[in-house]
Formats: sequence, structure tokens, C-alpha cells
Amino acid sequence: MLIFNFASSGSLETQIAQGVPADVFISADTTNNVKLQNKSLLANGNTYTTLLYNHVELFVPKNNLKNITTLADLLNPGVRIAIGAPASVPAGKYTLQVWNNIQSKWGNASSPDFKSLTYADFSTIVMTHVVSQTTDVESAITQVLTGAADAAFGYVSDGIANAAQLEAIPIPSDVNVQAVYTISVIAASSHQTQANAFVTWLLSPSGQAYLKKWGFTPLSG
Amino acid sequence: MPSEPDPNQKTAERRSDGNRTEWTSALLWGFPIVVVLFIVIPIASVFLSVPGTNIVLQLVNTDTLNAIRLSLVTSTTSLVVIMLLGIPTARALTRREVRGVRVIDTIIDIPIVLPPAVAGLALLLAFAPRSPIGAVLLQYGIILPGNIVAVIMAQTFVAMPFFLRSARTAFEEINPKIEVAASLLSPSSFYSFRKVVLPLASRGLVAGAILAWGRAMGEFGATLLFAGNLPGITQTMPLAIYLDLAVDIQQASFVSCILIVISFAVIIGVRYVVGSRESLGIWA
Repeated sequence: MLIFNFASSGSLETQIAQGVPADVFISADTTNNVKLQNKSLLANGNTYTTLLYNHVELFVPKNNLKNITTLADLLNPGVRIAIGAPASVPAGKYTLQVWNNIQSKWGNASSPDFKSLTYADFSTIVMTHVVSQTTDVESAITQVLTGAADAAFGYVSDGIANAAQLEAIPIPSDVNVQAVYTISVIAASSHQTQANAFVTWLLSPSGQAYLKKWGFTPLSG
Repeated sequence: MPSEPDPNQKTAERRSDGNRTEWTSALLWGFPIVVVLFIVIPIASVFLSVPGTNIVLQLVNTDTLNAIRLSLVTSTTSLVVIMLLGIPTARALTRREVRGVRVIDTIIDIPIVLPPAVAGLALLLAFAPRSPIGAVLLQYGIILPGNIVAVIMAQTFVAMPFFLRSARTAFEEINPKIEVAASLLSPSSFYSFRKVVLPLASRGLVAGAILAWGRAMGEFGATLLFAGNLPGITQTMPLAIYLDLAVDIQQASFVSCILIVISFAVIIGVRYVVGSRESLGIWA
């Protein structure tokens, strides 16, 4: 039987580091598993493994009152955006990277991917449209669902879970960021055998197929 | 104090009587000690986990200073709103003979038992741009989430009942005969309110104000949901601490210490000021 504790990867790392019991830890980045590794808290010779990949996606509500269909529309005045807090939520960190990519690739005349000077200050302008830096990526999506924000940045996988209420606007791969999810067994776990079995299954073809069904990108791509 | 030993009593009896009194006395005092330890140990743990002075200076960054400023500004504003609305409300509610007073009484107590996250969701559903009221506000260019006003609304919502309860009790405890006497001094009821009723109720009003301000300073769930987390605009100290927790526990501890110290300072300071005033209370 699996018991889940869902929160931002940063929150979970803090809890585990303080000794809150955990058997398996899945982080939406490598950073938080590295933090635990630096504190020698991981099992299997203090190691973690890559679990899957994910990508950043833009979400708007079904009724899309602000008529946001492209990334450039985010520059329109009055658009309200929700993102995960970049310091502690991996999705927020990745989102800022996407914005910087857009600004430096699409908005920079000397870049081979140059599109238009509209994007020249993309990152700076869009940052001023942020109305909340949420404690986890799900809360950013919730801001869109409740109308507090017009758009939110989340993961492709979030689109599958909320398909009925959200429109997903894909982010082109030349500016998108690949999120690397990592998984580890915690050294203090009292269920190491079962924990390792679970991790092995997730990394197996059937486990990866299951993850793919829910919008995650498996290790094989 | 054990009674004078009666030479006619058996020595053993006397000793056991004295022991029983001391024993129950010790047992009784064990309880407050447990309560105090339960409160002090976690708070001390926060202070003990903050690093030395040099690092402490590095930890004071713009976000921290903004959070402190926002917390103080919003909590104080909320308190002003609460008192402006609350004093007349509490006064009106002392008129127990008016029908409906009991109903109002119960309703304004609701935020106390409401989980803050529910309060935040409720405010969001009532005032966010997607709601009917929010849509009207939108036409005037007003959007509450992401605005400091939303922070004040959230704090007022959750802290108001704390002030109201104390204020209500304070007004109710004033002997009605005093008000009759005051009205003989001057026909203006506002005058008698200002010069007689308010001073008499001041203790309860101040106690309620401390409670409400403390609750507003600590408000987290409703603020996070309704006002959102925007450093410099809506990120009060509790929000800053919660987000810091996921990044750097020492930063979180440091900001927590500041919050604890500020709150304590205000509570102790106000208590001192009130305590030194001469009490005019003439209780029924």
C-alpha cells in the first residue's frame, strides 16, 4: 500500500532533511536530491536515479477570457500569470528558464532563432504580470481554475490531469526546458526492500508506460 | 501551611496530612509547567537554529525587509478597520432585546472556526474577477487578488471575531446605571459613549485589539489563497517563512525569530501601557 505526501520538491526535501519519515522521494529536479545527497541521506550508496522527463506548458482556462493563444499574448497589458515560486518550486525555476530562452533566442537579433523584437524584453515584461508565486505547481494551476490568474505555467503532465477545465498551449521545443525528475530511496527508510522494488518497477517498461499515459516523458524519450 | 502540631495527635497522622497538602500542591503546579514547556521548547528551538551574527546579517535581504514591512502595514491597517467596524458592532450587539442579535452574534463568530484555507477559498469565490462582485470591480479596473487590499481583507475576515468577542464582553460588563448617569451629564449619546463607555470598556477593547492584531500578523492560509504570494506586494512574513522553508531552513528560522520578537514586543508593550493606566472600571 502506497501512502503519498504531495508538496513542492523543495518542501519535501526540507521535511526529509529534518527526519520526517519517507521511503521513496521523487523530485521534479536533480537539485533537491543532490541536497539530500550532500547530507548523506540517500540509500543505495547515497545515490539517486533519473526517473522521467517533463516539459513546461502554458495553461489557460477553457473560457479563455483574455484570449491567450500564443506566448506573445502574455505580453498584453492586464494579463495575470501564476507560476510556482522559482526558489523552491522546480516548475517555477524551469518557467523562468523558458522565459529567458524566449528573450535570448526569439528576441535577440543576433540569435539564429530570432523571431521578432516583440520578444526582446519578454522575460522582464512577463515577470511584471505575475500575480502569485505559488507554493507548488498545482496551486498555480488552481489560480487559473478559480479565476485569480488568466494563465499559469505548469507541466505537460498537469494538462492531462486537468484536461476538462484547461486549454494547454504548448511551448516550442527550441525554447522549452526539459525537466529532469529524479527518484531516490531514503537511507533512514524502514522499508528499503519494498522501496527499491517500487523504484525498480517505475523504471521498468511497464512502469514507464504507465507514466507516459499520464503525460510524462519516459526515459526512452 | 501545615497547621500547628497538636501534641495529642499521632505524629504519623500529622505528617501524612502535611504531605498530602504539599503533594497535591506540587501536582497542581505540574500542569502549568507542562504547558509552559510545551510552548517554550518549540519557540526556543527556532531561536537555537538561527546561525551566528555574521550570517544573520547576510540573511537580511530585500524580500525579508519587504515581508516585515508588509506584515506591519497590513496588520495595523486591518486592526484599524476591525476597530472602526467592530466597536459600533459590539456596542449594537449588547442590545440583547433586539430580535436577530443572537443570529448576528453566531454569524460573526464563524471565521474563528473556519480553516484559513477555507476562508481564503471563500474570499476568492466571492471577490475574484470571475465572481459577480469581482466582475463589477473589474469594470472599474480593480482586481483584488495580487493586491495589498486583498491581504487586508483576508486578515480582517479572520481576525474580526477575536476583537468582537472581547469588545462585546467589555461593553456588556458596564453597569447600565452608569450609562443612565452619563446621559444626565449630556444629552449627546456620542459624548457619553466617548467619555464614559469607551474608557470603561478600554481594557477589553485593548485585549481584543492585541488578539486581533496577533491573529492578523500570523494569518497565512487565507492570504496565500486570496491575495496570492507576490514578494513586495502581498508576501507577508508568514508567507515568506513558508516559502523559505522549502529553500533554506535557516533563512526561515531567522525570519521566524523576527516575527516572534515583533509580536512579543507589541503584546508586552501594549500590556504595559494598559496596566499602568488607572482603571475606571466600576463593575456591576
